[in-house]
Amino acid sequence: MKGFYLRWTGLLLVGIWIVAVGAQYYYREVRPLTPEQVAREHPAGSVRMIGMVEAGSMVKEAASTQIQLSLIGNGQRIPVVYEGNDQDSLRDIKTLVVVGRWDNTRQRFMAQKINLIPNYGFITAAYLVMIPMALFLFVMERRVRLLYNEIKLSKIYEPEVGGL
Amino acid sequence: MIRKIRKYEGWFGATGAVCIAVGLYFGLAASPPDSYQGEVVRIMYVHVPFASTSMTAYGVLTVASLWYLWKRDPLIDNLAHASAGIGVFFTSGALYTGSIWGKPTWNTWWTWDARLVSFTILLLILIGYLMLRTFIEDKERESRYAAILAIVGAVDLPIVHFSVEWWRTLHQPLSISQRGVAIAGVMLYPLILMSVGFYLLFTYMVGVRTQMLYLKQLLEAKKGRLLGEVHL
Amino acid sequence: MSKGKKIGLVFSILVIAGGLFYLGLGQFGKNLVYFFTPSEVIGFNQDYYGKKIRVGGMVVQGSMQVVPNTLKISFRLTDGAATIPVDFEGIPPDLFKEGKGAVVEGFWDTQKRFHSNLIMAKHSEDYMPIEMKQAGIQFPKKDLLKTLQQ
Repeated sequence: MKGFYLRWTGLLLVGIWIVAVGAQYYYREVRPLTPEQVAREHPAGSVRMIGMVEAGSMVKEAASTQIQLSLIGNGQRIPVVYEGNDQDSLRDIKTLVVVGRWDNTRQRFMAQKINLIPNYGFITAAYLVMIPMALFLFVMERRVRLLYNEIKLSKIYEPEVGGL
Repeated sequence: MIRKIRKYEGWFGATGAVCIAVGLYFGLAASPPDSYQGEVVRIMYVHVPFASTSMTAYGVLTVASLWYLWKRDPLIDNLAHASAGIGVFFTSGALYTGSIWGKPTWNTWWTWDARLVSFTILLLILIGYLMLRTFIEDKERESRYAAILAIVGAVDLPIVHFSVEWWRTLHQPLSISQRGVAIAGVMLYPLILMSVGFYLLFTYMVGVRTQMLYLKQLLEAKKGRLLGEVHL
Repeated sequence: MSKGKKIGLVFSILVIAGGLFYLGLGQFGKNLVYFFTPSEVIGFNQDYYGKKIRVGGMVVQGSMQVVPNTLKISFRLTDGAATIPVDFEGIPPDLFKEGKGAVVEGFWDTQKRFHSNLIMAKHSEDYMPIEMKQAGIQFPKKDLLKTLQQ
């Protein structure tokens, strides 16, 4: 029984480690800022910003490959200039993440990349199903150990009988 | 046989856990987002293994039921019973993850399309199977009726699999079919890893649960409660 | 068998059978045709006007118009043979896009327009990263129009 609990403690620790590493990765590499945060903090360097494309705000310039649009979120509007691939994925009233940097002199966001459908909450929720799975397995294994013990104690353990 | 299960099950569990761990890394971090669905496609790496494992679980249940009716081996009956219990878990898991995938992609948690309905029927059959086993007192009759129910219910398996090809559904058609494979390599690896991991884990879980059911019966029989009805 | 167990057995059988019956015959039978195609909708007689139905098709390229400052969108839906106009009010799903599949729920009116407040996106079964899509790689897949017409 001791080995069993040790093994599951080990698994639990590994699970906690994976979650910790995942959370760290998320905060460092994935987590987007809201337009409100961008407007307040004026972050330097490459950042990700999540927001909804304001209806009717998209302007395609015929001469250049740039697209101008506004992202709104938390009651804040941020003008964005997007220059990059996959432009036909942009659409009015669509929520997306733009990757780029804040241009402080011209007060706008220069984006080079867009990430579609950044629903990390849904992804997390789907993967949470692993927790009940582990619990289910734990309860089952523990039950088996207890049954073996009980059978041993009642001195009737003879699984070879009958050749099953 | 029980001793063999006890001896080898650990390997299945351990390999499965390793596959899932590596698969999780590839699925959640290393693989690229889909060109159309974006990041949400990562739910596929857990949804598809859950769904295919639950189909396998029902397959095992069917084969074990047939085998039981033929040989009347109580251990095989335990195997079928165990497979159904774990099948309920995986089937619910597939419905849960599918529902969560459906909301951001299709814009609905649930819809009455052929794939979703036939899969829910599979879950109901499995729950019905387990209930039948709880409520029939005579061990022999319980196993026989349950086996028949499982074999009749197996009709639903091909319906679930081909529903997306036969009828108009919201669910997308099969990605891996006679037409070929419609998933890019970088996205296929995590999917295969997770699927293999889940199959191995399923094998392990069935091993554990079969032992559990077997030992429970052994104990009950030895205590004299059902003596004479259990064939040991 | 004890009385409690008997009642439990009868009850559970009723629940399961009821559930199977409801799924199998009630909803499933009706929904073997999960959605209609634009060609079928165009051919509908008056009995169908105002009835809640689902229509599936491809969103015609360049047909989408957003009314500024509202949640109203209009677009056209096609199955290759026929095209119907759709008026939609609400938040469309993220995957809703011109040239892609969509299933809309709503009703068909006497002016031969479809009114909807629920769009569901129907995506195909191929998955690939953005770079591969830009490279123009195609995977063998079922033609979405074909899955609609089937």
